[in-house]
Amino acid sequence: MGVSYIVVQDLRFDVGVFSQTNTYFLRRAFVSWDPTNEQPQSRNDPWHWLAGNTLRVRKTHDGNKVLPDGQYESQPIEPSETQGTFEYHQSWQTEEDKPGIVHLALPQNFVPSVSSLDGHVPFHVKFDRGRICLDWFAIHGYPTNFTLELIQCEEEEFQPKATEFVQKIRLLQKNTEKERLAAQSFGVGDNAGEKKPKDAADGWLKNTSLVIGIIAGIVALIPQTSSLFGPFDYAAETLLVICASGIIVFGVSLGRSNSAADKASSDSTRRTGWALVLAAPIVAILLWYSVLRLPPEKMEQVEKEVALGDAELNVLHNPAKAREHYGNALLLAPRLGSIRAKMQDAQERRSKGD
Amino acid sequence: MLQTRLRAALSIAIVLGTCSLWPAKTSQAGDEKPLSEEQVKQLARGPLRKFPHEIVKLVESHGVDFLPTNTSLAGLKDAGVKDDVLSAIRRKAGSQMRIKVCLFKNPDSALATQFADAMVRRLVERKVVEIAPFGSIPLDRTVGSPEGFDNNVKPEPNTLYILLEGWIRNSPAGFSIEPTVVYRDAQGVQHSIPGADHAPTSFTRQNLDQTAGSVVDWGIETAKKYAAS
Repeated sequence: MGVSYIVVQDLRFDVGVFSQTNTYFLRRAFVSWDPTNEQPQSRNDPWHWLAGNTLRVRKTHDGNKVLPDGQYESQPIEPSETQGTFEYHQSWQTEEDKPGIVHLALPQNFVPSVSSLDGHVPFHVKFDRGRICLDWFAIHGYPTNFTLELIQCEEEEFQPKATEFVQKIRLLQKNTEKERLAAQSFGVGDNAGEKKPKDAADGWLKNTSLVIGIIAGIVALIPQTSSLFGPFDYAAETLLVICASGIIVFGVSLGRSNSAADKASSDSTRRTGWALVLAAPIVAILLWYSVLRLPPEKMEQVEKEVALGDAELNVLHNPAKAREHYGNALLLAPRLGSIRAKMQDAQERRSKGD
Repeated sequence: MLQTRLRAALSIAIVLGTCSLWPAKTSQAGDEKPLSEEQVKQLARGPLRKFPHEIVKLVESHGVDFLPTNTSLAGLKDAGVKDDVLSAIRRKAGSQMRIKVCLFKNPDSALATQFADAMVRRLVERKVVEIAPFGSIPLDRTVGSPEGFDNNVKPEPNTLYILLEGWIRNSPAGFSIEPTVVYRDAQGVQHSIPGADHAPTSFTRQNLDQTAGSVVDWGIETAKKYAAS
């Protein structure tokens, strides 16, 4: 099920008067429920920051620009019979087969009554910037009405009450199959934490690349690596490149996932990622130079033994002698799989009596 | 009990496996055949292109199966064979060469034997047989059959023979002589080589020794001429 629109509602309470700004997008867009910065970092910020910066909508989606299709003011609150409580009436009229997302940021110090939400539990709830925020899938025929209460207290005292509310709602969250599918289409899994598809991809890359990098690095340092990969030369060097690449991918995806999510205090992890990106090739080169590289004089000796082996095998037709030379070369360079293959060839030709 | 046996079997398998992986350190002596001209070219063009010194070692250990005349050496040089290798081929070919006196064909076998013995004596008297550019040639005192070799006199392996063969015929003045020089390569193929000038043509019993010596000298000159060809 695709979600056709997003309505972002910013409910304020000033000097005893409620007012709500409704901003709506009538097209598919990418939504982030988790803005970590207080406000846009620059003019070129790729997000629309809405509802007191409690929700962001990407300015582009699938290559298309995403702009608000409209904005209007409304007054959805009516005083309740009980002192200090108010009735909230959802003003957005949904159309059939056109489900959307409604994000509502309540004014500070206002808490909805949990029982009043029983019929239409939000799929997402959070306490952000001193405000309780609620998100629903506005499905046709299910208008959202609930009671909210003003808690007269300081900000520090309000926070535990808000947190308690959030926890209660999370316990109540039992979405319909329709809502769950809609949540998944927005990258929100099981009404729990916010997780964007890109984050998931980055996370997969992050974990897999690191594992690949570590395994490749370990295998690269096994002296007989070439025998695991048949007649291929420089298998260990190739693995070392894979190891370095894996760690680079890990570092980049770590940095990207952090920057994409804009999580607080992500700077150090991002620095770690980029440090890994820079360090991986250096470490790979150092490992190659100190562990894998054959010194030039040894390499020349290997080349000479291989050349003598080739000469004995192909020119002088003496496979026994060729095998002896290949064996000497292999003792000097056990990672050169091609020598192993030549040795096997010499052995076969010796067996055949060539 | 079973465990002990299994452990023993495993140990043997590991030892055998290790042995099979370990490169063979010995090769059969008979495998080292002398190098042909074509093989030397292949070595110089192919695997040992970067290691001419290794070709020198192979030439020294294997020997060659051809007489390196100037023509063949020029061919080798054109094929990229280095001067060091060419020198080694000459040196090695010299050490593989023998000048062999054969019985000249004559109904009188005693005369033929006397003549052959005189030729051997001449070879011994010369002490050093020098054939440029090969250097000194090892002495071969054994007289061969008229065709070079038979069941009694067999060729040494990997040896390049210069065979002094010929005919002795009776003539009114004594004996006429028709010496020939045959080059026998390492494979046993014999090649007649053109004789040098002034080959001895006759002798008497009085100057038999002198004529035999002249035939040896002429044979060596023929070999030199062939080497220079």
